[in-house]
Amino acid sequence: MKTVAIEKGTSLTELYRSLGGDYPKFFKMDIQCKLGYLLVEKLLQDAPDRFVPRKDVAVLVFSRSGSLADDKAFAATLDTFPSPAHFVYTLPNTVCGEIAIRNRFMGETRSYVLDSFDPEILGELVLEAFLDEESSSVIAIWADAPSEEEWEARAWLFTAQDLMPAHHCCHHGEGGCHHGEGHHEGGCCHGEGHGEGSCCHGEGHGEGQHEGCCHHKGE
Amino acid sequence: MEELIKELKIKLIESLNLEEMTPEDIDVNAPLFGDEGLGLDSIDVLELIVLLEKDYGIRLANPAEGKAVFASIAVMADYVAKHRTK
Amino acid sequence: MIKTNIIGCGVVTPLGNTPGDVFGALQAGRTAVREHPAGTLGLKEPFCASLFEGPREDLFCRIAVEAGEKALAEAGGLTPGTALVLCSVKGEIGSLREGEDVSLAAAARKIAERLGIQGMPVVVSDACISGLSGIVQARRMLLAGLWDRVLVIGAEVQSRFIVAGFNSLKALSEQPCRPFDASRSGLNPGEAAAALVLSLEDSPWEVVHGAIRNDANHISGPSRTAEGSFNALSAVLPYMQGRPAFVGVHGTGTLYNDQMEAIALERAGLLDIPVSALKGYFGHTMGAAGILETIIGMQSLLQGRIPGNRGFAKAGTEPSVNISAQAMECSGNEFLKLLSGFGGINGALLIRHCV
Repeated sequence: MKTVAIEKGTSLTELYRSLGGDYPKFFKMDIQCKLGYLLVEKLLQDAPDRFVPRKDVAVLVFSRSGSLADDKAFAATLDTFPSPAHFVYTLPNTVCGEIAIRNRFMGETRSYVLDSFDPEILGELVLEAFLDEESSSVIAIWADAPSEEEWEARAWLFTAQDLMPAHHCCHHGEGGCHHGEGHHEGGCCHGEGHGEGSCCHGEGHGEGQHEGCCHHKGE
Repeated sequence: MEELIKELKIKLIESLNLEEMTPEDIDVNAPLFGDEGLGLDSIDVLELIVLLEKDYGIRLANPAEGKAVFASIAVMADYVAKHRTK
Repeated sequence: MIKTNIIGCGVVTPLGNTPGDVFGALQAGRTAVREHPAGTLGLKEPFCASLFEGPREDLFCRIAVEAGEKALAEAGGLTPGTALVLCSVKGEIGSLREGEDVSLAAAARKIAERLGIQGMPVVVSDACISGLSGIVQARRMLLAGLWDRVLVIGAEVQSRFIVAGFNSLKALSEQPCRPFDASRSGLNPGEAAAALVLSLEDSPWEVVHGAIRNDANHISGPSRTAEGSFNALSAVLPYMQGRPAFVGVHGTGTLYNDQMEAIALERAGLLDIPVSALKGYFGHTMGAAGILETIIGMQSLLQGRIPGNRGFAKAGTEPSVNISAQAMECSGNEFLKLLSGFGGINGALLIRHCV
């Protein structure tokens, strides 16, 4: 599992250039799309076969604010000349669209709004994304930008190995999701018990019992 | 016309977020659309239609007209000079 | 084989407030789409849309709650293990100017509270396929063994924000929309709420499978080769038991969407299947569309008859599809629902009726 972040206050233009640039469309994007785009650029910097069209990478975008920053920018044009370039970005799922176009991802893309950054719910939804038979990895993005200056931006790349290394096992006979108790390695959703693996927070420690959707790195 | 061409180049760069371009980079006769040109797309046409009305009082009802009017800066400048009401 | 089933439905629309009433209105050829004068919703020009009458205060949450209550009632009430999935494109965006918290999460919280549902709701905001996405999500939530039941509510209300936005993209038709017709010229905004309760409990209605795929082509125009729509269909087709009774298309009435869907159907070998395009009756209900149009599809399957495709007269796609202005008999125990949306997103859903 890989994780990246973009700290608030980072110059996105400088970051864009430091990651290679060469994608002028970047400058048309709203703040949420820019963050999503850059997070994936960081995540996949050294990935082999980038830009080869594929259907096996699911992209999930989460936020609380959705496209709020652009909503306000568009609303400001309503009294005079409503701007089409702003309107197209007044949807949080255009983050998925821009990422899909850039990376040639023709698999599943989803956009969710959550009341707060909740690792348990995020983890559930990531796990459920693996229930699509064609998805063998999931890029999860938390890109919450209520304005051009304020944001939280993190992303994770999960592969099926992160969640279910040894076997698929599911309470209901499909997909992979543990609902059980006991010892298990790798991915576990909603379980209890000891485990290793990846954690949505990108950090974690401690052994022992843990509940919720993301396993914590054991020690 | 020189002034208008310069003005249009600046407005184009601003309104279409062509951040890494300067007016000097834009060839007056180069196609604006398509891969050989500035690579503008259908949303850009719509945004330019808004610009025509907002800044020059020209109403283009049909986006289909847009592609012809925005063929190049030169064509656009010609059209604006002829039809502007502002 | 684990089945995820529909055990309750609810609708709140300008055409009626039960699935039977709405279907009856369609059969009687009634439409809620009409011209609204300049000034409606604060817009400067007249426009064609399907809107609720009456007070608009708190409209979004009210209709969402009402649809949810109906679906829950049909399902026998609320259980502790029921999750809420809300589907919408812009929610309460009309309140943006007043400084309200217009996050869909805030609306979902209000709706959950009024329905008595605990826990953080999941909001699916996948542009115009949100309702279909929500159904797919609900199905997976059940398969993952985390919930007993999932209440999926799709809702949308119109506002100056949305209508002026679509207008800036020249996506609106000044007339009632004409899905798949040669002279189609755009969509009509609509508003509605629709809800389903999904469960692992037995019922005759199964959500067999669903898939969502991105075109990876353009953020607002559909792929000319229907990549995403075809890929979504391809993921779902292997689960069909036979030929589907009909395909409930997205059919917004825009030049590009309807053409794209014709290509998708052609690529999937479904050109002979009767097409049901419902937006001529209640416009484009956006976040509610995936659920409302699925519920009407269920009525059609039950009756063995799809309503006439309102607005269609002459074939306007290449290839042409099996679409008629008249009601058509249809036979079979399953149907497909297709939707597409901005951001290059496309969805396909397979619904089966098991007697």
